[in-house]
Amino acid sequence: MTAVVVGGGLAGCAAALELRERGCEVMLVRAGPGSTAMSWGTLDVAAASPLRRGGLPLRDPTTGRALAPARRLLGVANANTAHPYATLLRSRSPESEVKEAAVALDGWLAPSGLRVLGSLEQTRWLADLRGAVRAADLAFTGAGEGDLASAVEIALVDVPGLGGFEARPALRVLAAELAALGLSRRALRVLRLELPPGLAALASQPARLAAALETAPARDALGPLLRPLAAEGRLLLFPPVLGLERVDRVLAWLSDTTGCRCAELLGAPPLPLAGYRLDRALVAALGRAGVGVRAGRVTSIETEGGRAVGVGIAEPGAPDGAPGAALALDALVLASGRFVGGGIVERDGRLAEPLLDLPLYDLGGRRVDGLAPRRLVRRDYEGEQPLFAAGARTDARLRPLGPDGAVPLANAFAAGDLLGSFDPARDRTGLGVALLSGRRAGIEAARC
Amino acid sequence: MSRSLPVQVLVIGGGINGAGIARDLALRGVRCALVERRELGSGTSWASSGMIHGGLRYLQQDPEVTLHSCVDSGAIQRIAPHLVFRIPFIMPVFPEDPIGPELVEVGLEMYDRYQPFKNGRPHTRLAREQALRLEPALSPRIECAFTLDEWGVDAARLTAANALDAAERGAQVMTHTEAVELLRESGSGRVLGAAVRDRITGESLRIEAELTMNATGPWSPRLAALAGADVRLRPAKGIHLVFERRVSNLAIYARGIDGRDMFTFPHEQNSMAGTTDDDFYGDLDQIEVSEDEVAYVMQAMERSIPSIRRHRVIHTTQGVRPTLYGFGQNEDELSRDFAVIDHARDGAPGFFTIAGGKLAAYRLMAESASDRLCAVLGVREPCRTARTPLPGSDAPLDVVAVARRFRAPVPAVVRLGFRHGAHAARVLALAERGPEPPAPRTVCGCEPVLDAELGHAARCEAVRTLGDCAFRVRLGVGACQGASCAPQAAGLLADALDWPAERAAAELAAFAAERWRAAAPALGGGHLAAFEIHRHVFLAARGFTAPLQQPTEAPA
Amino acid sequence: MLRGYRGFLRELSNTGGWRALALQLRVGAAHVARRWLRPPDGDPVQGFLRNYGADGFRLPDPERAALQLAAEACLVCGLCSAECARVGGAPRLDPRDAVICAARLEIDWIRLRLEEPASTSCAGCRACTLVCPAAIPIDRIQDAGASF
Repeated sequence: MTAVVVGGGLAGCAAALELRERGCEVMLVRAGPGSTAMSWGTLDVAAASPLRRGGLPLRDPTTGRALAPARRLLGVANANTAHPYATLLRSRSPESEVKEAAVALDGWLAPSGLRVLGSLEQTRWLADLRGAVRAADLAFTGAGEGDLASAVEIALVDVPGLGGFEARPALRVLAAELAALGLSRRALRVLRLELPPGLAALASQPARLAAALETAPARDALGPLLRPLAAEGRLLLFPPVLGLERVDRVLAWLSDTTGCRCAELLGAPPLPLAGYRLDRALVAALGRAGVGVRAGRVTSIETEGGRAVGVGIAEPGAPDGAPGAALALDALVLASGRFVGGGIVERDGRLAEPLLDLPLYDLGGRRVDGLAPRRLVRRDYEGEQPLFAAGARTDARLRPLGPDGAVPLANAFAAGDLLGSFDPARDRTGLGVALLSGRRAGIEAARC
Repeated sequence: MSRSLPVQVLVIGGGINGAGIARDLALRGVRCALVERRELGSGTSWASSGMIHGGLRYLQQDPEVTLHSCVDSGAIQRIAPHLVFRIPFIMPVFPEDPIGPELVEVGLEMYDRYQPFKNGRPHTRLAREQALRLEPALSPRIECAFTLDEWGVDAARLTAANALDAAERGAQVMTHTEAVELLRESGSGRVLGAAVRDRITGESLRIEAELTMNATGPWSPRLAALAGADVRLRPAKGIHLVFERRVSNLAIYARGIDGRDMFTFPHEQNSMAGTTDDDFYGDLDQIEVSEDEVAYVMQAMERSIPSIRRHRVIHTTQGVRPTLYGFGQNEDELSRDFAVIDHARDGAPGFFTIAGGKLAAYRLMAESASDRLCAVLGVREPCRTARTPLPGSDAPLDVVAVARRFRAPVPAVVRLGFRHGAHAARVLALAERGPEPPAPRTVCGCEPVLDAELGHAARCEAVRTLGDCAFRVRLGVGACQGASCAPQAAGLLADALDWPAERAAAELAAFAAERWRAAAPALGGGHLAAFEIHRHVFLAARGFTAPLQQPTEAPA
Repeated sequence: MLRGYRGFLRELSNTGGWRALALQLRVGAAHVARRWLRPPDGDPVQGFLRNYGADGFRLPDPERAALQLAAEACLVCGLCSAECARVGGAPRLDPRDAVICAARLEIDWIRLRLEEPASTSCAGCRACTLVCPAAIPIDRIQDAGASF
C-alpha cells in the first residue's frame, strides 16, 4: 500500500511515521519546513495562556492547583466543539491519547538527541528571551530543562555581544512575571559570560555561534570561563544558541562543567533554532524509518470514483506552469499547513484551499472560503481573528468534508494547521493538534 | 504645583511645520519650546508621499507656486543632502487620455525651466518601445511616455532632524507631551502659553510664552477652540499602499478611475502607491483605511502596471491634510496654499495658527511664520534655514570605511548614512564602550537597523517608546512588521531607558496592535503567512503581567 | 499629432490666469516650431541613462526583476541563516540579509560607488534555497548581488 503525505511539518511527519510503522510504503512531499520549524521549543498541547478570553485559566478554581494539560485539553474541546480536539478525543481518554503521542514522538526524535520532556500532570513554566514566562505542557530538550517552578535560584547568563538578549531588562520582567504567577520566592540574578576571542567574533551571528558551540575547540576555550557560574541548586538559563543540532550534547557538557541544571531560554524569530532542530530531527526520523522524502510542492490531486489516486508535484525552483512529476497512491494525508505552509491561500482575492477546494470554516463553524481575507479580520489584534482560525472540517476519521457535509474522497485525510476552527496563536494548541491529528491521520490512512 | 518654563515662543505640534518653525526660531536666537503629543512627524507629515516635488500640477493655474516649490526643493536638498534621493518619473500616455502627448510635452517643457532650481534633469520623450525597455512592467497599451524627476525625502526623519537641530540650538523639544489648556490673561484674553502634560510620566508643566504657535495640522481647529478661536479647514484624507520592496526604481504615473493622478513611486526601501484625497469627517486619532480606497488605488495602478497585483502589500499609510477651507470645489482643486493666522482677530492675541501647505514647502512656511512671529517679538535676525545644513549633512559619508572601522555590515551602514549622514560614525561610536567593543548587530533585518542606532536614538535623540522607533529609525515597518525585531528592540530600549517590567510588555502589545491596524486593510497574498507568524510571536511573548487590551469577563 | 493640438486648444481655454496662459502660448508655439523644424534625434533611453546614471539607475534586467519578485515572499524566519551556519558557509552577506537587500539597496550601492559587490564568497551549496519555506531562490540572489 502506497501512501503520499503532503507536507513535512510535525503533522505530516507524524502521519508518515505512523503509516510506516504499519507497513505502508510512504512518500512525503514537502516544499519546505513550514511553521513547525519556526516553533521555539515547547510542544503546546493546551497550554495555559495569559489571554484569558481565548486561553484557559491557570488554576482550578476549587482546588487552586494548576490545571494539568490533559484536563485543559478537555476544556478546550468543551469550549469550542468545532476544535480538532473535539474530533480527536471523542470516546477516547485525553490523558492516554496525549501520553501515547508524546511517547511516540520521543521515540522518533531520541536518536537525534531531542527528547520530549514534561509530565502531563504538571505544567512547566519556562522563560523566554524577553524574560516573559510561558506555560508549557511538553517541551523539547533545550528549553524544556528550564522549569522555573522547580528551581531555588535562577541565573540568566548574559553573553556580551550576543544580540537579541538584554539580560538586565529580562531579569526585571522575569521577576514581575514570577510574582504575577505566585512563584516569586526564588533568587534571581544575572551572570556575565565573556566569550573567548574566537567565539566572541561570532556573537553577532547567533546561528554560527550555535554551530561553533558543538565543536571541541570551542568547548575547550569556553570551559574555564564557565566555572565561575557554578553554584549549588542554581538553574542557569542561556540564550538559545546551544548548538544547531545536538543541543543535548551541549547541555550535557554545560551541566558537567558547571554542576548546575542548564537550559535555554525560549527563542523567537529571527532565530528559531529550537524549531529548526525539531525539523531536522523529524527529517532524520523519516530517513531512519524508510519514508521517501521528495522536495517539491504538490500542485494537483487526481481523483477517480470518489478516491484520490495520484498527486502532481512541481519541482522546487521550477517556473510556474512547467510540467512536474506525478505519484500514484492508495491513501493520501493532507498536512499542508495554513498560510505559512501554503495549505490555505488567497486565490483571486478569496480564501481557498488550493488542492481539493475544500470548504473552510472559522472558530464558530462559519464557512469562510470564498471570502476576501480583509473581511475575516477584526480590529482587536489580541482578539479573535476568523482568518487565522480558518481551515477544513473533517469527520471522526479525519477525512475532510465537502461543501455538502459528505466525504468526497474515501482515502484522503487531513491533519495539522490545515484543520479549521482553531486559532493556535491564541489557544496555544498548535503543535498538540499537529501531533495528535498527524498520528491519527496516519493510523486511519493505514487502514485504507 | 507644577514647574514652569518661560520661553519667547511656544510651538504646539511637532510635525514638519512645527519642527521647521522651532528650528527657524532657534537659528535666530529666539528661545522657544516645541511640544508634540505623540512622536515627531507621526501625524500628517509621516503619511505624506515624502516628495519634495516642484508642483507640476500647479503650473497651469499658479506658476508662482511651482517656482517657489522648486526653489525650496533645492534648498532642502542643500541643507539635508543625505535625507533626499532622486526619483525619476515616467508618465505614460494612453490613447484614451484626454490630454494628448503634445500638450503634456508643452507642460513638461515649461517645467524644464524650473528644473535648475531643484537640481533636476530635463524631460525626455520616449516612444512606446523605448518606454517599455526602460520599464518593462508598463502596460503595453501605452502610446508613448515622458520622464521627469523629483526628489523624495523621509518625512519623519526630516521632521526629527529639524527638531533635533532646534534642540541643539537651545530649543526645548518635548515629545509625548500634550497641551492640555492654554494660559490666558483674564482681561485681554491674551494667550500666555500652555499647560502641558507628559503622557508617559504624567508630569505637568506650565510653559509661559509671549507667543504661541499652533502647528498641529489637522488638529488645529481643536487646539484653536481652546482659545475660543476659529480655524476653518477642509481636512482631506490620503492613504498609500506600501509594497514590500521597490517595485521599480522609477515612479510611474497612474490615473484613477475618476481621472486623478496618482503614482507608484520608490520611497526608501519600498514602493508606495497613492495617494487619495477625500474629505474627512472622522476621528483624527483613529484614521481607518477602507476597502474602497485600497481597491481604488490598486485599480489605478493596474492600468499603468498590469502586474502590480502580484506584488506584496505590507501595510498602508494614512493621514489627513490640513487643507485650507474652500467650499464647492473638488478636493483636488483646493489650494495647497498656506496661511499664518493671527488670532488677535478672534480675541486671542499672542496666538497664531499655521495651516494648509504641503510638505515640500515646509521651509518656506516656517520662514513665513517665523518672520511674522519675530516681527511681533522685535527680533531682527534674518532667516538662516535655507543655508544652514541640518545635522549630518556637513560632509559626505564614506560608507565602506565606516563599516570596516566599526565592523558593521555594509548594507546597514548605507541606511544609517541615509538617516544620519556624516554623523553615522558618531552613532556607531556611541555603542563602543569597554576595551573590546562588540560588533554592532542587526536588530531589524528589513531596514536594516543596528542595535547601535537604537541605543543612540534612545540615549541622544529622545526616542521614548517602541512606537517612536517605527517613525524615527523605521523599525518594524518592513516585511516582518516587527515580528523579528520588536521583542529585541523592546529589550534594548528597556535597558537604555530603564523601563519597569510592565512597560516593555505594554509597549510590545501597542506596537503589534499598531502594525496590525495599518496592515489589516491591505492583508492578502504572501502577507497572510507573515501575519500568521506575527501573531504567534507577539501573543506568545506577551507574558502574564501585561494588561489585557480590553476588559474581559472574570476567569471561569 | 493633430488630435493632440485639438486637445491643446481645448485645455487652453480651461486654464486660469493670464500669466499662465501667456506662458503656455509662448512655450506651445516654440514647441510646435521645434517639432516641425528640428525633430529630436538620438536615443532618449540613452539620454535618460546619461541623466540618471550617477544616481544609480540602470536598465532593468528581467531575470533580476523575477528574482526580486520571488524575494518579496520572505517571511524573515531566519531558517536560511541557520542552515547556512550548519553547513559551515560564510558568505559575505548572510542569506537572509541578501534576500532582504535585493531590489532595496541596488541603487544606493551603485550611487555610492561601493566597490565591493553586495554579495560574494557564497559557495553556492543551495542549502539555504532548499530550506526556505517561501521557496525563494536564495542562491541565485546571492549570485545576482555579486554583480551590480
